[in-house]
Amino acid sequence: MTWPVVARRDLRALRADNSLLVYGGFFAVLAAVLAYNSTRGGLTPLPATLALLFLFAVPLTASTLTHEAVPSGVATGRVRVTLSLPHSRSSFLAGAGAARLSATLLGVVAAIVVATAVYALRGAPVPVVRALAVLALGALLAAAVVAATLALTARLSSTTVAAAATYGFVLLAFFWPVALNLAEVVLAGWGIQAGGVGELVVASPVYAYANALTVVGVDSIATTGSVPDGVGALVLFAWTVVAFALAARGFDGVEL
Amino acid sequence: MAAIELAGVTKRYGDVTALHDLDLQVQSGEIYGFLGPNGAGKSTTIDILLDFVRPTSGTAEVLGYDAHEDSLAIRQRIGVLPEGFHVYERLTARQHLQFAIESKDADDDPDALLERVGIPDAADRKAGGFSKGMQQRLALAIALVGDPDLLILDEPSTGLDPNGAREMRDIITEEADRGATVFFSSHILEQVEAVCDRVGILQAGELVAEDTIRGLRDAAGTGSTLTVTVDELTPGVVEAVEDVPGVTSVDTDRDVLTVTTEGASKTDVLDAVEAAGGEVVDFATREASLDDVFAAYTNDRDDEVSA
Repeated sequence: MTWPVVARRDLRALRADNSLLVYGGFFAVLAAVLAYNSTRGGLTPLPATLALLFLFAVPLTASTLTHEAVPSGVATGRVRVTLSLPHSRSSFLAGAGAARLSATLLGVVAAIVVATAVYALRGAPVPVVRALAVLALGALLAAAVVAATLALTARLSSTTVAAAATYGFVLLAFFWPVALNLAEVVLAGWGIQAGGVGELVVASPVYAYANALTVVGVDSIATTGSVPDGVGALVLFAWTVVAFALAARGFDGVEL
Repeated sequence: MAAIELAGVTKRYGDVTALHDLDLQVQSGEIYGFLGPNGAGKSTTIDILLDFVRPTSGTAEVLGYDAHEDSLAIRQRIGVLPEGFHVYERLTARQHLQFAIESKDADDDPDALLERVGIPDAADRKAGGFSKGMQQRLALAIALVGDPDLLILDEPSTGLDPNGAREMRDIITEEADRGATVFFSSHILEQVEAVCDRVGILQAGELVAEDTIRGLRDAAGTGSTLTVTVDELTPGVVEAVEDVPGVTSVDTDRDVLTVTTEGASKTDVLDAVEAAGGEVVDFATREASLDDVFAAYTNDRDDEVSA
């Protein structure tokens, strides 16, 4: 596999167009503001503050960084330069995904460093192990969103359509319980009693992340139903693997 | 051994047939010019060789490997200047080359490559600020990484000024001298004429001619043109020239005869003029250019198609 070569090239490009700086700064500023507010008055534990930040910032950042990777490469012909060299199409995808994941993780790490510094300066406790666990789960969420975005955009050559599909997916992921409730009502209208709808909430990467956080004692968002704590981590892993496989399959069939 | 071999390749895009039952062989070590008007299917053929698109039917092999199944092995041994490529605007020329060098696990010197393609001062400039010609040179430098066994160049002269085009020809010749096979498509015929061992002409997805340029000239019947200036042009002189075997047409303008021949030697024509009482003041010959040959093949084909 030659994906690390592609990933390094894409990371250089992301650094050259200041994406790393912009997204790293975005995470750092948000983390500073949240950490400051969380240490005023009633203290919110550091892992919960980070979890809340990552819940919103990671999907948005990962999808924004990733959604143009394939469509823009195909539309402009940049992908031809890469694929005229000895890289398979799946290596191209893996490299593009790894670079965007790394850029997102850079933001996540910046957020943790800044938030930890704010907590320490204000004399609040810093539970390092739990903070690192939140980091690991944030990384898993980022991987799932990157893979899902690649799967959605692998066959597209229009960046506009890619943006619509990607942000539609992110919106659906956040409002997934509402969508499920609507589906339940519609099905009931047809006389169909849907069972297990509550458990399906965890199928959304966002709610899977929230579910996984319960393992490290962060219960910021209730995931309804009777899904055991920690199943969300498996769901995120499944999203990563299955979505990347779908992306690779989709991109393999594209005529460049 | 064939460096490139296409057998019965057909490519359809919906109702449009881009390539129709194409058979093509490029031998190792030769410089093969792939000619055709816009939309003839040249780039589709190259895209099939690179596995950018897959044929509807037929087989394509490069360096003995299947173009689809063994695409990675092929791309390890070839250098490609693809059509419609785009550079990474924010990366420098050096970073582009480093990527290609890492990709091929080669040990080329980026500065030497840039020097060779004529942009030595551009190493640390971002490629987004390059002119089309400079981007083309950068793409050629990328293609040269790793001393490829086969160079596939799709319209390599695009965006190049005359000097750039000449330098491109020189590099193509040097690569062939090194032992590489060069397959390049172009619609700039003088480029092809200057360097190619053999030429294939593609028209509407079919290979309508394939030979050396000399062979194509002969087969197309475009012949050569002889311009003879005489002291006094008489009907007898014109008649005598028209009777020379191999002369296909004779045009007159004052004291100048323009004679198109197929196989007739110029001395036969000059002898006929003098035998008829004319005195040759001056003469010049012009061989049919590749433009003429190309027009003969593609126009004939158009006529056939419209008929």
